[in-house]
Amino acid sequence: MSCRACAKVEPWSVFACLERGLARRRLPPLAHAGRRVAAADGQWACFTLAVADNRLAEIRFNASPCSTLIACCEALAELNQSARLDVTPIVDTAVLLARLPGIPASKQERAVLAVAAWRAALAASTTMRAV
Amino acid sequence: MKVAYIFATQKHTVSYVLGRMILPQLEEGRHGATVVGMFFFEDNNYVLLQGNPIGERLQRVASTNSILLMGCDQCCYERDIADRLLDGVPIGCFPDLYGALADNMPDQIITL
Repeated sequence: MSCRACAKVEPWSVFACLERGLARRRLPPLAHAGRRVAAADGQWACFTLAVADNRLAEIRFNASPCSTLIACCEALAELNQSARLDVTPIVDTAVLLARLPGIPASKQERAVLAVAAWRAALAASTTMRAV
Repeated sequence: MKVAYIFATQKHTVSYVLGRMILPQLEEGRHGATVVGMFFFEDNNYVLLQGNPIGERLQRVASTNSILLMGCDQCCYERDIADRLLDGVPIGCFPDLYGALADNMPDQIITL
């Protein structure tokens, strides 16, 4: 038995996530837009989603130009790609940081911001589908 | 005069200019300017790794003289060393650097 959140964590390279995230960040937004979530220091992130057959068919984001934040957003997008919406998507900061173990403590608040933006997008998606 | 150094070029920038000129002068209190910060790009970040002898001397001087040390975040992630820097040495980019220096702005920023 396994689940996506508690399966053995395979660490990802922060830099590789950053590189892929920079490419994803350039893509135009999708139909279901989450709220833009900002931190006190001005950093911000916003996810957009495409939903099909009760799955997250595609995930995109935009974020302020911070390497750590972009890597975190990209990791969340990859962790949740094709996830079923009736199964709780991964929204946990600890899971995210376990995937990206190279992020130093001084930058881990970026993961919290990314997760907050991700939760906002999921909430918006749920609202949109309920209407 | 207050200065900040940005270590941007490689080759002997750290081992020679920092390790044999700036650092010994700071240790002896005869550098001639008040250094408020140092920022490191690319391979220069390896000096900030835990256990690096120049880095450990630098950290002692920085602690005594309230000198900000900061590594470039992308450079450190690319080299997979972001979480292995000397205690208390942050990573960041220009907004972080300017923010950290905001209360102690240098008169000159010198790129080496």
